[in-house]
Amino acid sequence: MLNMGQENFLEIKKKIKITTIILAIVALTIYVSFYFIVSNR
Amino acid sequence: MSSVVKDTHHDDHPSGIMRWIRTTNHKDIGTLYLWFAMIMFFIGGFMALIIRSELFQPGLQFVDPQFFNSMTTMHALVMLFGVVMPAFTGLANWLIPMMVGGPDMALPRMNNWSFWILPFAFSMLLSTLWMDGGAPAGGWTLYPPLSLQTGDAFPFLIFSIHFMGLSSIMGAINVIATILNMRAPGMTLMKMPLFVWTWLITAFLLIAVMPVLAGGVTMLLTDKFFGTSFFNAAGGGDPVMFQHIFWFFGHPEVYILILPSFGVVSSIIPTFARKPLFGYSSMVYATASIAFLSFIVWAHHMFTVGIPLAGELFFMFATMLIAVPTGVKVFNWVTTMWKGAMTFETPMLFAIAFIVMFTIGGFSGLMLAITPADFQYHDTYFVVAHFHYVLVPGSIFAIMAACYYWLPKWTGNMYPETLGKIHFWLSTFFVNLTFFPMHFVGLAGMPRRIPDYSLQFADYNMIASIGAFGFGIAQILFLYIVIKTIKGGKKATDQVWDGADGLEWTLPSPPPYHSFNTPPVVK
Repeated sequence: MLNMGQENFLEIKKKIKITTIILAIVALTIYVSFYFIVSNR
Repeated sequence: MSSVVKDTHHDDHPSGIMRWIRTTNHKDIGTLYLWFAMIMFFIGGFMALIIRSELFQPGLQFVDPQFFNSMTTMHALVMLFGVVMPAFTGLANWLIPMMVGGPDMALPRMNNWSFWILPFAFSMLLSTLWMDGGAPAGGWTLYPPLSLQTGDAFPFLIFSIHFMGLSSIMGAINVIATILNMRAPGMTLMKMPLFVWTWLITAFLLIAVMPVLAGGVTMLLTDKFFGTSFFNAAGGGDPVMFQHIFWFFGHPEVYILILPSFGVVSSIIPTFARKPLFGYSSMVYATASIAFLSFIVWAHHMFTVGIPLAGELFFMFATMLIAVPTGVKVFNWVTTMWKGAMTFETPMLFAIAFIVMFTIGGFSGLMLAITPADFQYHDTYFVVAHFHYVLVPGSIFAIMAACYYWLPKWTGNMYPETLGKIHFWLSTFFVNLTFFPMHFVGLAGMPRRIPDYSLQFADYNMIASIGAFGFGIAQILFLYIVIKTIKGGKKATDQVWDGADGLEWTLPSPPPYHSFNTPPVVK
């Protein structure tokens, strides 16, 4: 359905994957780091 | 190589219930979120009416104190995580792809999962009402050691909060991935509609603070069941630490609940004032400033816990500083209306009421920010009045404004204007009748989360309870209007409102299943 150039489509797909991975790592890092912050007080 | 990518899996449209369970379409998922929020709104509202019934008169009338405390706790959890957040996520799903000129959300399968986690999370939370020891009753803030006294409900509460958090984080990742990667050619960041901007900033807030809440409640869980002492003073832990963790999440959460409202109002005011938004770039910077400041004010919720004087001063002034970007926003909305060719259709009425009453909530917030004054106001009905002014005529009115504004676009039918206006005036009258008297009883010293109270508070409590029932009944009219509009009505034009501007208004009403198969070019 998506009517755009294939290279552009693949480029966007790659960018979406990178954005998602970075954001997921950020969220997980915050989650885990709070245990260390609190337990090392 | 072909210049056209044919992505055929989107052609598969199951019908019936499977359409909704398997859907990866942003409009379907937006609809699911909005209906979920509507159902939870009536469940949470019913809990509020139990609270107001008990408080209609002094003395214990209908429920025992433990159940009353469960109602205040569950009402808050349901309204915040089950109504306001899903409603805004529903609006984001419906509107962001259409506003940025994209075909769908960037991560459609994850989008489906983000939604379908929620009914499980809330089934788990609501099931605690029938458990031994009752539903959680220690307040939505879950402060230990009180919250650790919860009975069988405790692990269900913790896991449901984890699921809500997971759903929010996945939704936020989706919003950011969509906005950063799926914009139409020419749609630069500073050309995006304000609703998209406010949601982008909200999504970053969500990713930053939902893991903090998840961490906090996991530590509560391990304290209760696995022998840790994160917050147990007897084991070397610190219960105040939980309050810091909770409010490091909780204060940005307040802005998660209000920033998308700013985006909605910034879309509606220019349409009905028939003028472009005044100060677009200052609106963007003000939103970002509010988001930044929201991270450095958390301890204003904890002034009475006992923090060093330097801390009190810092958190007091930092909190007051938020009034500056918020004032910029209110100024810009009023200036947009100034000398505009204004008309007062239902979305505009809700948007104007939002500005007036959100500002009342903002002012009482400034009063609460003053540390010495907060010692008097803390844990009284003044606080309840303050945050309900921000959340009900604030967030909830903005959601209703958004529903009236975009419902003709979503359904292709105009809503009945007279009924919409009746709904607006009933809601506005009763919301003030409910929450304004709470300022007075709060200043006079009535504590919150108490099922009984001194005789001197009786009159204002009776007025507030009448207001609450009036507001609740008025919302049945809202449900009726929404269903009536979905079923039929006068056909809406593509632009719907003659002052409306933006990519979503270039699509037919209702829009096709996939919004922009060929990306529009924005000039």
